[in-house]
Amino acid sequence: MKLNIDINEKYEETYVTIHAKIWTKEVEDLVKKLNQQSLRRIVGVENEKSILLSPDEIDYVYARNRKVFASIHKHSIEVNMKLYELEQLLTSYEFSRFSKSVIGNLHNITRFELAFNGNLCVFFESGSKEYVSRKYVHEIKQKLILGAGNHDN
Amino acid sequence: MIIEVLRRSFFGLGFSAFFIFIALTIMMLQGIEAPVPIIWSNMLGSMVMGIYFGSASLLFDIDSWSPLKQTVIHFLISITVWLPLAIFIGWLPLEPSPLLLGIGSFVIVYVLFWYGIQMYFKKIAKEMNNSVKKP
Repeated sequence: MKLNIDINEKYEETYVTIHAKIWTKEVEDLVKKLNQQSLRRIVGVENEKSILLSPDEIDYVYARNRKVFASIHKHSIEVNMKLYELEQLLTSYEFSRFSKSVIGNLHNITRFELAFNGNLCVFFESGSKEYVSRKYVHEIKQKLILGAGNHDN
Repeated sequence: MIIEVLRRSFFGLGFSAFFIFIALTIMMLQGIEAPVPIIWSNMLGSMVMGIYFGSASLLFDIDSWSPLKQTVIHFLISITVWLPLAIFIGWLPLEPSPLLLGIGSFVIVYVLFWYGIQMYFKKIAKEMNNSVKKP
C-alpha cells in the first residue's frame, strides 16, 4: 500500500481518497479504521496510571465481577469500557467473541486444543490460554478460514 | 427463564406426542389390543419424559460449567427421573438383569453421544489450527 500525504493551504478540511484496483478486505478494513478514528484508542488503568493499549497487543478482553480487563502478555489491565463497546471497536481488528464474557484476538492465536472436559482451549503467542464456548466456535472458524489468506500480506 | 422452561417443555411434549402416535400406529397395524389404563400410563410416562428432557436441555446452556460437567449432571438427573418412572409404569421389571440392562443402555447412549461430539470438535479444532498456522 502506498501512502500519499498532500499538505496544502487550498484544502478547507481534511479528506481522504483511497485508490484501489478492486474492493478488497484491506480496503474495507482501512475504511473501518478511518471511520473509527475517534474511538480507536483503548485506555487501560494500572496503578492509578492510564496507559494506551494497542489492539494488536491484546490477546483478549474479558469481563469479571462487573469490571472489564484486557489481557496483554499474560498480564491483566483494567479497561474503563463496557464489553460490548470493546466488541464494536475491536471487530475491525479481527477480534471475535469467545464466550459470554470474553472477546479474543484471532491474530494472536497459535493453536486450538480440545480439552478432556470438552472445553475448546485457545493458546496465544504470549502463552496465555482461554476457552471458547461451543456457541461461538462456528463463527470463529468462519472468520479464521475467510481471513486466512490475508495473514501477513 | 420460566418462559424458556415452558417453551422447551412443550417442545418435549410435541416429541412425546409424535412417539406415542408411532407406537399406536404400529399397534393398530399389527392388530394389538391394549386396555385404556395401560395406554394411559404409558402416555403419561412418555409425556413426563418429554417435559423432563425438554427442560433439562437448559443444563447445556450453563456457560460456567464445562461440557463434561453439563453432560454428567444431565446424566445423573436423567437416570434418577427415568429409572423410578420406568419401574412404576412397568417399562422395566424390578429384577436385577433388566435393571442392569436399562441402566447399561442409558450409559452407552451417553458415552456414544459424548464421544461423537468430542470427535466433532476435535475435527473443528484441527481445521482451525490449519488456518492459524502462519507462514
